[in-house]
Amino acid sequence: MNLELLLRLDYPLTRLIIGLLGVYAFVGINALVLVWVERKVAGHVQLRPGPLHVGPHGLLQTVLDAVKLMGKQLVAPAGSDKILFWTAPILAFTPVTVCFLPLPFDPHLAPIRMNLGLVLILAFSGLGTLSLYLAGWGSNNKWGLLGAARAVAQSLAYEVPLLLSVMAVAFTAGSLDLYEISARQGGWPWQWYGLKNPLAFFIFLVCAVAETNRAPFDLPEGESELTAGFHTEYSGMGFGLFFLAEYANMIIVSGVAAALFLGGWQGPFLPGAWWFLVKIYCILLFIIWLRWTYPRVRFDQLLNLSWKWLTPLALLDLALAVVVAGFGG
Amino acid sequence: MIPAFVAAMHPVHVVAMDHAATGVILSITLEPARLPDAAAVLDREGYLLEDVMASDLTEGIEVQYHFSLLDGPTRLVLRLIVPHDAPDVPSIAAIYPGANWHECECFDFYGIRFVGHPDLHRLLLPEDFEGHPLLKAPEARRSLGELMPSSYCRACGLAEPDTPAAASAPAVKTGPSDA
Amino acid sequence: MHAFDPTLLRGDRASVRFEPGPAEDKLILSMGPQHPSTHGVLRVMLELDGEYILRAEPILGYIHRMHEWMAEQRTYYQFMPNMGRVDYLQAMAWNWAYAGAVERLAGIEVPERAEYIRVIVAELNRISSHLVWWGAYLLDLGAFTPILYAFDDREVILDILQDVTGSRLTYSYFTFGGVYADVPADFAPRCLAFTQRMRSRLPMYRDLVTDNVILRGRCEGIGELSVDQARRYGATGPMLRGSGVASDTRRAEPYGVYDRLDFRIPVYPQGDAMARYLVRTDELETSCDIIDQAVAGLPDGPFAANAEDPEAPQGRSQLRRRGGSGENCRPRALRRQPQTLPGQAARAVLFQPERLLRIGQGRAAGRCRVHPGQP
Repeated sequence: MNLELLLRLDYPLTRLIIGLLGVYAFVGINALVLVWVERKVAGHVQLRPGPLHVGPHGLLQTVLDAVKLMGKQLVAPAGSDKILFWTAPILAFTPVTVCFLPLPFDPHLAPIRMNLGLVLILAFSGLGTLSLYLAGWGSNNKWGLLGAARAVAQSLAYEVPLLLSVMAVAFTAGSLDLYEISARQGGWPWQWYGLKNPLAFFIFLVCAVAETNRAPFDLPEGESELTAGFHTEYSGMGFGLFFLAEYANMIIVSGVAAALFLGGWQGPFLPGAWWFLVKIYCILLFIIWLRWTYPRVRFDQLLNLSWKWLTPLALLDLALAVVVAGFGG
Repeated sequence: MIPAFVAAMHPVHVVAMDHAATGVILSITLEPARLPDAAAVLDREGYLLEDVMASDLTEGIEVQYHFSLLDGPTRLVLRLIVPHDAPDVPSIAAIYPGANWHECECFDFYGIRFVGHPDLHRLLLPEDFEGHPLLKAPEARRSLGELMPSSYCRACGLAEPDTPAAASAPAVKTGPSDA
Repeated sequence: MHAFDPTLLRGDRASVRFEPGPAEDKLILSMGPQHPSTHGVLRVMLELDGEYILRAEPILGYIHRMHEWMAEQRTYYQFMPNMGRVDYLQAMAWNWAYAGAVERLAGIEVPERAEYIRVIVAELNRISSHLVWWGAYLLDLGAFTPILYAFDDREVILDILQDVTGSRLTYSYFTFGGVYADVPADFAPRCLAFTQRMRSRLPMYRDLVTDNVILRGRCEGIGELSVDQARRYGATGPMLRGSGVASDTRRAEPYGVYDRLDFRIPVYPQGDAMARYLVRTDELETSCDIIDQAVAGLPDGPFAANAEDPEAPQGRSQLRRRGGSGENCRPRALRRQPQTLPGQAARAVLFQPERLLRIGQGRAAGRCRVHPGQP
């Protein structure tokens, strides 16, 4: 391989390396910011200030928490399957980086333009579920096992309407490339697919919250039911990686939602990447707001919701989208 | 004002009590063997089982069952006495399922064996606890005559103790007996 | 060095009864005292088939402290703080039950001002207890926010009661013949301000929490208790009123000045968890009504009868007092111990719930586990 090729910005490998570095930087900083935002929003919803003393308005809280987590002893319970136990957090975090690559932050800032970007994201987010299961099983802990079983059933149930709603949008746009789908929308809300196909947007949001195991669908983690569910036995950086992966997953689904339903980077006045971030954070704030407002759904109600309500609705929506797209929409 | 169903229990004593002073309107003393039938009578009459408790007296261990109707001052108490060396009482857990845990607790604290109880075990104390903590040393026990109001003792023919304290007691309102 | 005792691994009686049966695909889970939702006092052995609970057996005793035995070692007055600890969330109710039983037997008259003060502080305590219930109930269901709102309201009550009694949680405010000390001058306005605040918050709680579709879905139709079951199991309080029986001790066997106050008894017929939830949340409003009336009617006068350590009277008495969880405070009776025992002051024997207590010198006849050799 010619080393000079690497210095050319249109060489795919170079783009990939720069993209990965950018993604890691983005994920890291964003996780810090997002955790702080969540804790502050949670605090103010609950009539308290949230982190306040560490840095101005608690801005350095997450940094120090990350340092604390990194400094903790890595303990695995006796009788746990060490390979599975330590693979799980790594497996939770790794697909996240891949899922970031197709997100179109900006016409010039998409790390990789793939014509199957959507499929890539959906496929790799499934790996996250596998990591939950390995964690629960490998912990040698019945609470973890219950959390893992719930995680698998929940993810399975909510993948289907998620895929169907996403396919409806793909049919409307005529492409599976997130860049293309964003490009076909406009900067103004009436040009977004979110308003042209609100049912798909709603189904996608519900499934996104369920896929990322956020309340009211946080049963695998179910703090008041399962102690800590699949990550009961994790402390220190093992827990830190799960935590990070959960927030990164939130950002990914928000990014996909912004690209599919909210017009992506397009918007007046500001350059594209800023709009993308604004839209991501609006959806994130909505997801955070949901968490601190609603109690948890019961597990059979959760599965009922998915199989009996969201899937038929998503099928209906897909059929309508196909008809509309087919007749020249 | 004793209800008609009380006769069906074949009580040993039936004493009307002062509700304002004691909280019960009726005290019914039974033979231990009559207990399940009495509980069945009260179940038919719609009584709620409030409590099963015991006391360690000189005459034996007295077990008390408190029942009341669902509303109003209607509490009555069933009493029975079993000997210290054979504290066996028929269980009413089949009639009143709520008695299950009450009887376990009496067993736990007093060692009373409830015959026919589905699963008699220590309810509150650790399962390897030795002894029954609320039993008293023999010299510390009191008799019903010393403990119950004069009206009750007279109605049941209990011997009241002839203590100086009893003679010099201030005019304490204990109920209609003293009036 | 002690040798390792392998029988320890066998587990206790509860685990032995829950051995997996011939079909090994059932999960046996000890939802033990260490669990976020059991609050440290309950253990339930579960047999699960996936998410379905096939068998559940509760194991009690984790908060058992043997108050009955403690009472045997103490005098009347010394035992009053124990009553605050029996149900620490509603200490006033238990204080009242104990003090009331003693007063009934000893014939101690309680002055009217004291009766009104008792009603007010007991109802304030009831509200604070119900707020803890409400917050923790929703926390166990997965809603993390209402408990903080509940505790925010509760802080006002705790501040009021701290200025009255000196304690925030485990009050020993009652005494035989009244209350321990008079209320401060700003007590009445603060109580009224609190009830006003509480009433203004209740609509928000109703809209955001009680009418929440997820909460309704989780509570409706769950845990149904028929009236007959409630009667035969001895359910009282919200358990009974949630099954449609309009039974409230404050109305049925009025104590204090409840017979002069006008308040509604919330009753819901469905018998499920939602009915009991609604009963308790309605009781928040009922208690506000009672406090308003009692504060308006608070008379001047002494705050306690000057009763000494009461002469142990004859007989047995019980005062059934409505505790927040319905019915668990029934300290019953006093018995008289003759004064012929040398070297002892006249003490009384007290019937604690289900137990005979002997307050006096001398130790209980049972053995204490810690000191096996003690007589």
